[in-house]
Amino acid sequence: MLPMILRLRIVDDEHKINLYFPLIFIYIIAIPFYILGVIFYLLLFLYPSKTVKQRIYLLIFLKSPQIMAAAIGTEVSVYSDDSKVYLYIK
Amino acid sequence: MNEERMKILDMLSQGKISSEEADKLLLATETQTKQMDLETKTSAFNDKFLYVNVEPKEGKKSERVFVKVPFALLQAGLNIAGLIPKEAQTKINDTMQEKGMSFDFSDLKPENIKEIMTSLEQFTVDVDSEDYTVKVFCK
Repeated sequence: MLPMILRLRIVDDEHKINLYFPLIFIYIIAIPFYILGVIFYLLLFLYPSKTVKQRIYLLIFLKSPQIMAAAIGTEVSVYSDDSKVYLYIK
Repeated sequence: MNEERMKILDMLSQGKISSEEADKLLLATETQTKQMDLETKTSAFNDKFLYVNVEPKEGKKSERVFVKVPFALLQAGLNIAGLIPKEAQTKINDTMQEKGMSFDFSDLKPENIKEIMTSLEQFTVDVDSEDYTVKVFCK
């Protein structure tokens, strides 16, 4: 399951941001590029010996949803006297 | 899995299969057992997190940092790092060695990744300095 919400909170003297960003918009934009990537990956098999590196890099790109899915629960917070930054991926 | 091994050995003793066929079946059973063990360990890592806490000491001006990273993310990163082409791995290895870290990407094999993740479960770091304390642990 891909993460759906990115929570970002930034508070300092000048700014106060409290953002709940729905990541589904990013996925909708990324779907056409992902489909193109799959098509190109399959086409590269027409010349298997000449396209080894290209297939590997494309495979890393195609596996990026795995990393996104694994990132659920990631939390980063940095608090100082002047500012607070909080990031949470849900 | 012991039951399957016993069945195979019974069939061999009854002459229903040859010794070569029994050997192939036993090898397939061992491979299946290893795969199931890996999957069990993988699912066990899904609920674990790596925590990094940096707390300033009282009266000291320093930032307070809290990082919580799922084990699954570390594992996914290690799995994908194993896909990096050898030329790129060599460049990364050389750069890391220049920085004083001897690391070889070719050591990142699926069975090694599981060992790394298992070792990380017991990994703890406690640093106590004048200005801050650092704790790294897994839970």
